[in-house]
Amino acid sequence: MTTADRVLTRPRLIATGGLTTVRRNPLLLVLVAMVVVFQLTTGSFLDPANLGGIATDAATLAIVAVPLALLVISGYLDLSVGSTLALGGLVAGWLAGQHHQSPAVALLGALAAGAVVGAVNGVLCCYFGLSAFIVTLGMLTAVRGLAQQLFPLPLSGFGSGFAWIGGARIAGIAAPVVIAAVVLAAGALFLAVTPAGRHVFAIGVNREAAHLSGIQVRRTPFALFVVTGVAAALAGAVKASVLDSVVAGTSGAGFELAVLTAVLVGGVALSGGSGSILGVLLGVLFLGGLQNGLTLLNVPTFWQQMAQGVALVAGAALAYFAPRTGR
Amino acid sequence: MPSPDAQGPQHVSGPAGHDAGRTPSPDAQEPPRTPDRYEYTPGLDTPEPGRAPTPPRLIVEALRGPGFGPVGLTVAEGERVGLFGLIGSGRTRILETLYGRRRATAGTLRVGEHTVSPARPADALGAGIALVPADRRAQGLFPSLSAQDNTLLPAVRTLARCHVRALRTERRVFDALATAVGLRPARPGLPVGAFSGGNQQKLVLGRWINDARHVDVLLLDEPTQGVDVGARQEIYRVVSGLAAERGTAVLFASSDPEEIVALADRCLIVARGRIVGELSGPGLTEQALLSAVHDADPDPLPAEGAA
Repeated sequence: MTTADRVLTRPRLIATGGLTTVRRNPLLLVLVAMVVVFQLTTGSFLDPANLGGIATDAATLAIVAVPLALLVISGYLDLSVGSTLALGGLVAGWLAGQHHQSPAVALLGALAAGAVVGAVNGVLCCYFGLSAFIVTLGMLTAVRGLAQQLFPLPLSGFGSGFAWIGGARIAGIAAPVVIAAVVLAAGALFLAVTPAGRHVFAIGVNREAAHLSGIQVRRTPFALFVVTGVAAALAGAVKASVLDSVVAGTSGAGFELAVLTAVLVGGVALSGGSGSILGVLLGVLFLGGLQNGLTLLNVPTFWQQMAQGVALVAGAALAYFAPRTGR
Repeated sequence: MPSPDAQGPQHVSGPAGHDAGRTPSPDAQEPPRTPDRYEYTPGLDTPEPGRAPTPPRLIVEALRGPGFGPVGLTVAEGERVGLFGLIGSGRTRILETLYGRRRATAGTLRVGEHTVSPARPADALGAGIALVPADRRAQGLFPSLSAQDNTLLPAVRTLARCHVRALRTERRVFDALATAVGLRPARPGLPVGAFSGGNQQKLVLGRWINDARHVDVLLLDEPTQGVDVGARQEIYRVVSGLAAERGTAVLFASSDPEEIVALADRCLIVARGRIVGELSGPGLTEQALLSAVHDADPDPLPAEGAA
């Protein structure tokens, strides 16, 4: 009994107690099964080059999925990340390409743009109490329109300095993957060891009780909206750097749904109050691996989309039958 | 009358429950409090006992809000004051206004020397006022979170150093609290939804009375609603002990006369958003409470400050 207590109270960093982890994240088994199937059918799924490709593809997803998961745990939602991603990429590319600013300045400009979008979302949802679904759905369209108005022409040719953000290798690992790993670690630590991490869960489970416990029920989710906006813009800058081009109309289109799918497949409850960063990591890897494996098998794109949709519904069903992870 | 309270007629129920808190008060506690609380004319209503000896901890003057007021009351250090009235009489509104969940439209509120005007529960907590709400499910608990998370939620930030949680201290505070309130089972990791009503109430109460937090004024709304008999006595014991040992001023609302008699030193009768009477000492009996409420309702409103 005492060991059970200890497992339950110990903060969940990434993986504690193998069995408990598997029990709480049934997706882990699905992920392993998927890897085995793809390796057997394609023969090249587990090649280092292919795994590196999956990781780089999944990196942008993970960068946004972590703060979005925190937002969902606290009972909110952000659908505008796809457009924010485009805006971030455009601002970064514009600063680096047209104005020949240093990569750092370009990146900071993008992050600032993301923070503004996030702050607008946060003020409307947290302080004015509007529905996060409606506000961020509106912002999805509005920010996309703003981006197209500001940058009607595709941007490209950002220079070698800016290309470093997406192309550099740090200790043999692609820079986007390193950034994603840092974001994932920061998210996990935030939930496990900071007081605000506890508050996120509490607000998601029972906002009124959290308010009556003296917790800042507006400020914490507001900060999460800002962080989500910043993360989306960062992902946009990374993507712009990797591709060396951004198009206002199409960059990041549908991204918001992919991230949300990863978060929900990863076991974060849309109703708030439950979820883990480990689950988000698994969700991101699952989606990235699924897409990559199906591409290797020459499955047409439409079938891939269908597979993603089925995965989301199946994941929701799985989460429904699995024990809650919110502690 | 050296210690009249120990054998007073109000001792109809729960001897184990409140004796712990009450008997030591005449000798162990600061002596000046005894005459203050129990020196009354043997009438039913005690009009404004002179409270020179014990410093009042909570002073409310002409407090008004939507649906109640003006309300004036004081709670002395270590005193347990009950608010008795029917549902809808405004007890909950008074408590929630004191806690900053509702805005007061007029009046002053002081904790010790400091004037407070709480706009949010966080403000009230900063001033040393805490509330245990009546509706545990809707306002108190986080059912899917663990017992430790539920009860230490406000303390996690206070205990943390440099925004990093002090996990070991948290566990120690929880264990001490679990022992103090007699939590069963004393498992920090168990989701709070799995506890019985009484133990859930102990956890919500424990939010404000653990070692990590100092509360000057404790407000309780229906402290033992949906709580079994055993846990009820334990909650009375804990609250009484808190008042006796830490000098916490306790103001609680209840619609159960038995509970008022068991827990309160003094009781204010609330009707239609005002305080219409006061009972204390031997006059504080279930029968007197019931007839006071009964009398209070059909009567026209008495003059302001009748209590």
